[in-house]
Amino acid sequence: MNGVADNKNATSQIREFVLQKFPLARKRKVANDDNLLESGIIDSLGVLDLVAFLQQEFAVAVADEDLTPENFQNIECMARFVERSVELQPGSAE
Amino acid sequence: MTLAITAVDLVADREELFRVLKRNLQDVSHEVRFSWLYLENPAGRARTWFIRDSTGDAVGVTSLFPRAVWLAGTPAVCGQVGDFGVDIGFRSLGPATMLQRATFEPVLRGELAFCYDCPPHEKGMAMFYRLGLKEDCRMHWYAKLLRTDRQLKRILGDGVGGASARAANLVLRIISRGIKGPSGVEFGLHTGDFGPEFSTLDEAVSSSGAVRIRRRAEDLNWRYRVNPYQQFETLTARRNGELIAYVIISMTDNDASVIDLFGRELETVGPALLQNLAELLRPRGLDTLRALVTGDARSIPLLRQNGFSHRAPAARVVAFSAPGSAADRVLKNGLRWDFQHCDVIA
Repeated sequence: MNGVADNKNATSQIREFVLQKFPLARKRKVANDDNLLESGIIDSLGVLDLVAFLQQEFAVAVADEDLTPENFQNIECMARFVERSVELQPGSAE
Repeated sequence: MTLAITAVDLVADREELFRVLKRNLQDVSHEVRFSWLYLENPAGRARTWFIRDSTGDAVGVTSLFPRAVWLAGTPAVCGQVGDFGVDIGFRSLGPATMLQRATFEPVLRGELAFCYDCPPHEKGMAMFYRLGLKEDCRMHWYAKLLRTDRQLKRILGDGVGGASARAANLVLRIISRGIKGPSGVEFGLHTGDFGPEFSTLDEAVSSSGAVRIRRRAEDLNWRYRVNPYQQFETLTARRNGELIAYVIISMTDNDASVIDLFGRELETVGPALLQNLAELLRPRGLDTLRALVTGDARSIPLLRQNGFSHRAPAARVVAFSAPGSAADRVLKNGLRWDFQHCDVIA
């Protein structure tokens, strides 16, 4: 398992989803470290869309306690959250 | 980042509570209404929770305010979620969802029959969708023009608008006078405390198949008489001195809102009650009389008959009950939400 490559892959997939789903993100050409929550690019319904995307695309479980700014404020944070979650899944070390 | 929900001690944590509320709900004087809203409610004290960050600071708050209700003809106590706020840096859905989940605990423990919240817009539904809940009903604004001066002057200018407005006002009055009230019913302003006759009326009006707040004297006195935050006026309808219906209003600059329209024989007495209310308000220069009701409220035909028209959809009502509980069975069995403005304000 290559963590760096996986993270790059997750980053690009999440970025693609954010740009496709949220018009403000396209308009403002957001960077991967731009705060999407405080800038209003993604609201609470948008977070729900992101959660559904992450669950479907990366098969990660997202608990209420995971829905923090630390994990969801920008694309990089989300990618790191995905990477950590995948590592924690049973059988991921094989 | 570790977040934790903690119960608020309404005495020891009061100053911290004010600080969090002031950061998130700025248009309310929290000190002025605290004792009344949190401690003196005849249905019970508020239950309040903080969400704290890893440093222990409170970064969000919510409360459940008990409400005495009729639930399909049975008296019960539920809780209305209110004073909900999460600091800007923590609006990532998780903290809000954790707070909302905390409000379910008294319901799951059987202390309250159910709880409900009234998210004002679709964005506010996100945490409910996350929790697997959907709206139980939707509130709607209805409004009736009392006079047209200001609107027409704004559109047409002083000269033409003034003449048109006088004519339009006359038409509004003539239309209102076409409504005939039942004979032997007298209408009058009610001043002073609400007495036992109001409790008697609350018991007498059927709430079969519906959910609505209770209107005992103690509820009305708390909500309308000793409310430090708002003033209300009450117009009653009586037959031979017996209370049969009433309407309670609050006023803002140019508008009045029907907060509570309630009684026996509302089908026949209601239109005349509302007509008398309009006549009472017109000399005060008010433009509009508004009413907030659920989509299946019994008062809608009355409002329409009295010249109210639908203006806009408003807040949703989302309820939570303990799965399998008696309240759950009732709420999920086609219950009619007979809610008005009084059911969704503090």
